[in-house]
Amino acid sequence: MSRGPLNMWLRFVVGLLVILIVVFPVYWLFSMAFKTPNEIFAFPPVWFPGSFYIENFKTMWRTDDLVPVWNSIVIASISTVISLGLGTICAYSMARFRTGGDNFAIWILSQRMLPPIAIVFPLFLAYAFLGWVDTWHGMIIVYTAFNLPFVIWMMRGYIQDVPVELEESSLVDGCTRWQSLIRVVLPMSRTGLFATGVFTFIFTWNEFAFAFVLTRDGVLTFPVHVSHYFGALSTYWGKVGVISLIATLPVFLTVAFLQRYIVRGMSMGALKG
Amino acid sequence: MLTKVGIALAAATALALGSVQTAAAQSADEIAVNAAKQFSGSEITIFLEAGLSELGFQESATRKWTELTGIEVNLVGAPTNEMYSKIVIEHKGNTGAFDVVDVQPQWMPDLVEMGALEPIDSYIDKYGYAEELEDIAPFYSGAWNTYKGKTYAFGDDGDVLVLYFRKDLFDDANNQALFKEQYGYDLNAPADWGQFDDVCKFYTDNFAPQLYGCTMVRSRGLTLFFWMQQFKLAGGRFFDIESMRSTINSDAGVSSLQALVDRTEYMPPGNATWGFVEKLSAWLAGEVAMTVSWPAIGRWAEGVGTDHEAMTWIPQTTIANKVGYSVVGKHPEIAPGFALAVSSSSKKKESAYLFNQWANSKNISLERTMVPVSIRDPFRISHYESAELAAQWPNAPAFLKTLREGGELGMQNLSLRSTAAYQEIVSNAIQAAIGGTDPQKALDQAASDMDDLTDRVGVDLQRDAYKAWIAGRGYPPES
Amino acid sequence: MTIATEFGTRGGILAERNLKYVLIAPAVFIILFIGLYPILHSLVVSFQDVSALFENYGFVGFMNYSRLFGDERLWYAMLHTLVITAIALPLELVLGLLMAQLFLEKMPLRQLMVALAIIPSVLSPVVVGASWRLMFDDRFGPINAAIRLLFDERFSLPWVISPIAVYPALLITEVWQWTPFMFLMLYAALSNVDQSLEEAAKIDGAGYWTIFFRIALPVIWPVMAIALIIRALDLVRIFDIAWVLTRGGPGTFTETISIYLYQRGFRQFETSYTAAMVVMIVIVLSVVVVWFLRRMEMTGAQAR
Repeated sequence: MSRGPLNMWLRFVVGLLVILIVVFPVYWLFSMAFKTPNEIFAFPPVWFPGSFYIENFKTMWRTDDLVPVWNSIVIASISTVISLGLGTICAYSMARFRTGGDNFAIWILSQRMLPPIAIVFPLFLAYAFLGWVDTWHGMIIVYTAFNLPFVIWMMRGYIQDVPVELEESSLVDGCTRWQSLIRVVLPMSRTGLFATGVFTFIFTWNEFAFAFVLTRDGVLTFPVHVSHYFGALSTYWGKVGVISLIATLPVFLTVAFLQRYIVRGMSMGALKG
Repeated sequence: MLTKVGIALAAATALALGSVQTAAAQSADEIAVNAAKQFSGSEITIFLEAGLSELGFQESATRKWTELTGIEVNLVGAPTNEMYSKIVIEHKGNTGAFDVVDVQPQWMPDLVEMGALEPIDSYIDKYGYAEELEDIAPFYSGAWNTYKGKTYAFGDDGDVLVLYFRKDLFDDANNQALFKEQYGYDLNAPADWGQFDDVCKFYTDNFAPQLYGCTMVRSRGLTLFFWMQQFKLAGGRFFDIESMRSTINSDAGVSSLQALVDRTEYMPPGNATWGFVEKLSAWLAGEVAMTVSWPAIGRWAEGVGTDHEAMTWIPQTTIANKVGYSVVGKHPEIAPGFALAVSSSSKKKESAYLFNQWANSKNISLERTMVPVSIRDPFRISHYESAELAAQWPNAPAFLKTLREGGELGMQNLSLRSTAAYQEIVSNAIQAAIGGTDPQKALDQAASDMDDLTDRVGVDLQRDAYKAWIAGRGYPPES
Repeated sequence: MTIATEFGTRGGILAERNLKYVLIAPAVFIILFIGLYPILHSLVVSFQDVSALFENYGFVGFMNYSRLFGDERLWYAMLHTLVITAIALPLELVLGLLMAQLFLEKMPLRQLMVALAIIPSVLSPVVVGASWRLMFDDRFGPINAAIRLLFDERFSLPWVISPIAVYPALLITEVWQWTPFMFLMLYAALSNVDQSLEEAAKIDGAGYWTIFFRIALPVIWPVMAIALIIRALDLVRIFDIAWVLTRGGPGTFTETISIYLYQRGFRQFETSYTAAMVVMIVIVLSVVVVWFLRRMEMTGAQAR
């Protein structure tokens, strides 16, 4: 539905306004990294940091404060890749073969109905028994199990959007099911794969309940570490600002640079033939 | 043969006597260090409050402990409000992950009944700590250290909630004249809550928005301590001791809760939702005349230790040398405090105990209260009499005096079976009232919830715990 | 050719009749591995009387379940959760859809703007709750400061504790953080809509929204429905933002199901009672979701 330059510039202005509104709270948060405590608690509020106050950055660089960000990146990345892989093939099976029917699909979704805080205690007991508390593999497996229902259901929807005719024609051409999955379905649903992957990463990244109960200090993740900045008698707003800024970068950069996977127009070529 | 045995016995006795004598000459911390050296090369895990406390422990204690004994120390922190649940979960899972646990004394009844804490009387005898235990001011030991006759922890932090006021404003002749004119009595540090509200109103009415009368913390987890003090002073009682039905919705309860809500009008705008740091910033910026709070406020108002890199989040103080100290209502609340205990599922109990003894000892604990980033407050007689602490700022002696008196006359905060749950109920009522619910209604709901809880805990069990708490001075002595 | 016959029509593990099970096996295994014990544990424990204080492992019948029905606070928690879900979900859907349409075609800086739009979801909910709480602060927060600048100098409203303002505050924060989710999911789905069909309809004279409803919507409906379900389930389980922003307050005014579960489960450690709550929640949610899915299957089929 491309229309003309006027339409594009109109959308640009509206888009700019929308982004400004969306981003202002983010700006406010990040600005804490550069504000002195007096500026953070100034009345009336200070809109821009007065100077380039970088004490917080220096402090955090010196201490171990950035390690949890790295831990979260590793855990979230590995868990996302595994979830996407296993979840997508499962979704394919459900979309094309209706494997397990409705009951199976509902069961998968029911896993996502459980509030994490409700199941974290028995999970802790199981993990304590296995000796998996505060371990890398423990956290990765928990998050993979936690994310699979989401991946399966989203990818099932995106795969259903891929016309069956395309696959059938490739099968007739001599491909196996497996090959048609890899060569036809996945590329056609890569926009969905990308979007699902981004949010699988985000859900893992932000998860607090499991991380709080199932780790101590060995595999400390970012959300739990940040919660330590909010003490009973202290709040390190400066550090909160810095770590939030740094922690946002991985996803931001990924979405910014890998957008070609969701840009319109590149996936429709095959249909027109 | 007999002579050989005889000589051996004699030698052994001589050695034993000799070592007892050397032990008597050593201080508790030296004994602990020497005994702990046998564990050199191993590791202990300390569970404590996350953030500033962790750093404080590192700088003031654990690094030194590792140097002295060769024992590695692992610190695991959790946000204050989540500490209790984490301790219980680890205990239920029998993981033995924690060796030392820094507990809030109000959790002791639950933790001990659950079997989560190790009794340490035998260690105290073995390592000769009884004498230095006496030096802990009585109000911070007693109920804080023992439960049902056994010792489980060492009180380690003197959290007493006293009044901090701006001497310069109170001493100002114009203010004094104006106050006398408007209220009919002399302007002094308020002796009770009625006077507190008068003074608060006075400053706000006359000087807002440059100056407000008072600021108090209003966050969910902390406000209840301040309300409880006023409630108890007004004659309020949590339960009827025979039936163990909650009497929190009595006139004393309603009037003190109403006073708390009304007081908010005279605080800086927005105070109704403030946590500790917001209130601290208003106080340090000189925008209020009074506040009731933890001892750390006293140090930070004078700028003591605030130039440490971990303290850069504290706004600059503008009120150094202008602060006076007192107590509202003669009996301040002592809450919540911390005590060092040993986890019962730990595999290194002796090593954990030795650390506790060392950290809590006279010499070491003094150092710890003086390290700027530590938020441990004075709790030993020797602290109150320490020349070093008194020299931290010009008015420090008065500060120590008030803390000491406050502790002597102070009241323990509520500590029963399932304390955390009762606290949530009370907090709900307070927050509801601040949000506009009628105090009577809010407290009626709280009373009903408390009764449900008491029934589930077991009325007789709870009555025993309640009586023990009263005996540990839960209520003002006069009543 | 040989490969195709070998894999496609004869036996072997990748034969089609086995393939579909092989494909789901790893995922099922992992989900079971983690999910089975907690569910079984909850089921069993809900029929016992276990808490921090007592450990009675004997069968006590439906005691915990009957207590659920008389628990007024639980019903209020469900009401609060329902209100939040019923308002936030449509808002997030509409706003997400509008944003997706907005950024669908090329425009300057599009890549940058889309990446920026995602950021709210990336922030830790604890941080989001805390920083919005500070933003809503009457004295130190920019929101009231801006209102004072633009409208009335004497404006004063303690958002997070005022009964009239606390739900708007909570909803604003929640919608702000999670609209990017609907946005990105729908954006990806809309990218797949066949442009040639849209072009043809335009030539025939169809308007913007007609094109959307008749052509785009049926295509993206599977994804949209699922995104809605996922988002709805997450809203029902909302915890972090609500807890940090309002602590369920004032009093229990904004106490959601998860917050109540937390209070009972981690403050009072009433393990059995909370287990019963969890079982009940799963049953109720399953019923609702199944009902919605049946409707979706029907509507989806009609649209096609």
